[in-house]
This record gives sequence, C-alpha cells and structure tokens, in this order.
Amino acid sequence: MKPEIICIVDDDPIVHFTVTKMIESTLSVKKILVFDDGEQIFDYLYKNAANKDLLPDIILLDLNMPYMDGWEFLEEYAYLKPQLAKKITIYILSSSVSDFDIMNAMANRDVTDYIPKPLTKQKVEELFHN
Amino acid sequence: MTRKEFDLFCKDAEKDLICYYEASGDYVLVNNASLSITGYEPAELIGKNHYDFFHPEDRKYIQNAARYLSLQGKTNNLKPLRYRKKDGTYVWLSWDTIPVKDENETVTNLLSISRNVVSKTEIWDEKLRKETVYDEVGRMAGIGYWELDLKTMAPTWSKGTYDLHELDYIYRPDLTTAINFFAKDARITVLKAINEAIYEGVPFDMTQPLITAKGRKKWVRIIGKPVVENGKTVQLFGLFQDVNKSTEELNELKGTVKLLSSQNNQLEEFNNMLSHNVRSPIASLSMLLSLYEVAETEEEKQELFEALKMASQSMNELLDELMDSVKAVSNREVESENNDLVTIINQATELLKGEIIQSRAVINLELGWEKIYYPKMYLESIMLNLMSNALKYRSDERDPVITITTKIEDGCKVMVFSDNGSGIDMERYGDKVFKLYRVFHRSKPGKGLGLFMIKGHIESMGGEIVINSELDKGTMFDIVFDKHKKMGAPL
Repeated sequence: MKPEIICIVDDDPIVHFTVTKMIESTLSVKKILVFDDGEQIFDYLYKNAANKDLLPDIILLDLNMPYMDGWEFLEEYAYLKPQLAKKITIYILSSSVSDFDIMNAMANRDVTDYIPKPLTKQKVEELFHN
Repeated sequence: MTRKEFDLFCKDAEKDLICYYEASGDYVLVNNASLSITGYEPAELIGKNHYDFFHPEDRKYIQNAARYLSLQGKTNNLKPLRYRKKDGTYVWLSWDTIPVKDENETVTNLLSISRNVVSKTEIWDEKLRKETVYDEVGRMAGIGYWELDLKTMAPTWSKGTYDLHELDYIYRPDLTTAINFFAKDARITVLKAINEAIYEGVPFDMTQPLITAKGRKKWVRIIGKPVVENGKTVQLFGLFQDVNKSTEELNELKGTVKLLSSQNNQLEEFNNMLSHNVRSPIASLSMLLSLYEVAETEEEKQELFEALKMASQSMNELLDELMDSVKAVSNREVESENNDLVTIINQATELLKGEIIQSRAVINLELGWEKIYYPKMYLESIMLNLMSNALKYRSDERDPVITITTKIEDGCKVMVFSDNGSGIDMERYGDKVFKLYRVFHRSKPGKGLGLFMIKGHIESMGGEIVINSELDKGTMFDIVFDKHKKMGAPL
C-alpha cells in the first residue's frame, strides 16, 4: 500500500528538509507533515484522532527531542492508539547507534522498524514500495 | 600394691583422694581423704565400682577415653569430672591415673589421685586468670566489655573499654559521663537504646562516633544485651568495639563509589549525547550531499548548498558546546582558591543586568557564610546558570524573586537557591532535569546545557545538587558543596 500522508518528527529543521526531499524524490505522496517534537505530533494525532483523512499512514520518529522525546511519545501513543481512526506505522529514524536505543525501539510493539540516520534512497524505496 | 605400700604412698596427701582399684574399676584401697571429699568412709567404698560414681554425662567419657588409655599402660590426667558424693550431690574432681602392671607388663590395677578443684582460692585464681586472658584478647581485638548495674546505674568497664576511651584504669565512670564520651549527635541515640534495653528488654547493636578522653574522634560499635527475667531487665551488659579503621575505610569507599558512579553516569550520558547529537548533523550532511548529487536544476542545487552551509554551522556550534561540557565533567584543570560569594553573585548580576532590570527581579541574600574554597570558574558558572535560569523561566504573573541562602549543615557548606518562577513538572521531568540537552519550556528556548554542566562541576568536587520544584510556584536548588566531608570527617 502506498502511503498518502507521512509525518516527520524531528527537532532539527535540516532533517525536515532533507528527509522531505529524499521522500519526494523517490515516491509521490499526497502530503508530508513536519513536527518539531513528540508533543506537537501527539497534539496533532489527538486532535484528529477520528479524522481518517488527516491522520498519517507513516510516522518517522526521532528519539532525542526536547519537551517530549520519542520514548515519551511512544508511551502516550499507546494510550491514544485505540481511539485512532487509522492504522499508523511508526518507524524510528534516529542518529543513535546505541544498543540500548535500538533494542528498546525494536521491543516496542508500536514500532515497526528502526532506521539509522542518514536515510538513504534505497531505504525509502525498500520501505514504501512494497 | 600392699596396704602398707598404699599407706606409705598416701602419707603426705591428706587433701587428695587416692584410690587403688582393679582394672575392672572395683575399689581395693581408698585413703582417708574420701570422707571429707566424698562423704564416704573408705570401708564403704571398697568393693564398689569406681565408674559407677561418675555423673552420667561424664561416665561415657571416662570409660571410653580414660580407662582405655590407662589399660594401654599410659598415665593420664583428666579434666575435672563430676563424682557423686554420699549425699547425692556431685563434686568436681581432677583425676591423675597411674596404671600398675604385673611382671608380664599387663595392667592389673589402677591408682588414681584426685583433687577437689572447687576450692575457693582456686576458683578465684581461675577467674582472675580468665579475666586477664579475656581482657588481653579483648584489647588485642579492640574490644571492651561493659556492664550497667541496674540498681545504682553505675557502669563497669573492662580494660579494653578503658583503652578505647583512652582513659586511665582508675577512672570511675557514671552513666552520664559514659554517655558524654559519645559525639554530641550520638548521645540521644545511645541513651534511647539503653533506655529501651532497660525498660523494654530490646538489645542494641550500633556504630556511633565517640570522642576519647584525649579528644580523638573514633567510630565504635556498641552492643548491649539485656537479660530479661519475668518481663523485667535484671542485667545489662555488652561490648565496645573499635571500628574506626573499618568505618572510615567504608565511608571513604562509599564516597569513592558515589563519585565513580556519578562520573560513570556522566560518561554514559556523554556517550548517549555523542550518539544522538554528533551523529545527527553528520547524517544530515551526508543526506544533503547525496541529494546534491542527484539534483537536476541549478535552483535545487542552490537550495541544497544553503542547507549544507546551515548544517556545517550547527555542527560547529555543537562542537563548541561539547568542549564546554567536557570541561564540566573533568576537574583536572581546575584549582580551588578562596572565593567571596558576594563577589561571585555581583559578577553574575552584572552580566544579567539587562534582564534583571527589564524583569524587575529582586535578589535576596541570606548568607550564613560568604567565603568558600572552591574553583572560581565553577562558582561563576553555577551562579550564572542558576540566575539566568531563574530569570528566563520566571512566571508571567509575578515579578521574579530570587533568594540565595547559605548555611552550614552537618559541617558542610550548603547553598539554597530558590525562585518564584514557573517551575518544572517534577513528576514528568524529575529525573531528566540535569540531563544534557533537555529543555522543558516550549515558550522559552534553552539548550539544556546549563544544569548538566553545573551538576558536573558540583559532583566532580564531591558535592551534590538536588532540585525541588512545583509548577507555577517556583524552583529550589539545594547545593551541598563539600558533601564528601560529611562522612568520616573530624567533628
């Protein structure tokens, strides 16, 4: 299934820019939304929980962010999930190579995969084309 | 042995019971001392069996061990064993047994010489000897005995206890003076324990600081054991043990472990931060470059080039910050000096003058101490960071009030820095306040470096910083500059 809406959650504007570019140059999606931290995306999901057309298909989530980091978001998300009108796939997109982060991400049942930065064209194709 | 020979043998031994009996144990001859020692006339014993007179608990021993040896032809002397007197009571007698052999070297008879060991002087000698031994052993181990006479409330000490207090043996302690040898803070605890032992029969075992007669402070273990009869304590005694060396070592170790684990935590955090924050811009750079390679239009290339410039600039900033935080974690380069806290505070307020005037902030000083031996750079950084945080995260509803209090607590220099600002949600962020790159206020930008750095400064100097905060009420930092001094330091 081709994703229609992708959310990028990262506190670095350069990441917003580069990941957006990378996705746009690889496949056509209807919309790419960017958020600066966990709290912003959580508020967005909470507000639009019932609205299928506005909810993303995919979230690319950074771990280390201010206010609400990736872990905190995942904790809150677990409570929100039953109320969401759409099934959302979450990928961790992080620069961390620490075993702790990778193991914990893989162990989280709402996380589909762990993608280390930098995101490559091949990875985008691999993830979204099948 | 003939009667005559036996009498000759016994001539000078009026106090000793001498028995001549067959290998089977049947008495053949007994001297006159038997009347005074056992209550039996010699004639009453003759024909009876020696082994029947021993206490049932001792009988097995004498039959199995002693008799066997004797029959092997070996002379033996036995520890005191209980011998039943005519009136049914027992007397403790020591036994020297000599085997008597015939011309074929076969043991046919035994001759035993017994002495009543429970004579008064002997008991006394034995008691003294034991006490001396106990005292010596106790002193070697740094242990002393104490006892409290519950009628007069007068304590009795063994030599070891005197030694531990560095007192002459002629000194006579009473309960008050004895308790006053403990350090001030420990006295109530010790007195409470003694009271509980006397009135509730509760034993105690604790380690407390003691000040000796020579003014030396040492850690002692004091054990108290009440003897309770019918719900009432009838006797209270116990031990003193010098545990100064081990306690000091333990405290030192604890301090070291704490410092190490704090440094370890910082390293881990550092590693974490490297993983997140340093790899991140490098990942961005490499993504930008790969996008640049496939960019088709000049316009697109220009856009990517601008982004590359931005990425490289943020990396520069990051590296600068990194250098600062590395300095915060290692204290190798810094040296302590005498500082005047007021000067440090004035410097910080001077640097933040604009913000202080604009926010109409009030700074209160309640200084119990002003001088501190500490690295100047750290003090400046601590003051500047706390003050700028207090100003930055002030409440929108009230003018900021900052209060800096200094005092001595448990012999340590303490500073309390409090504000009436917007506060932090401790339940949500409590454990993350001092972490690197953690910011909690969306409206006020911060980098999350300041508190991480000052925590590093303080802990690397063996101190401690604790935060207390309530949302919309304010924040309070408790800093103990020289926490390490608290343990094992001279009082």
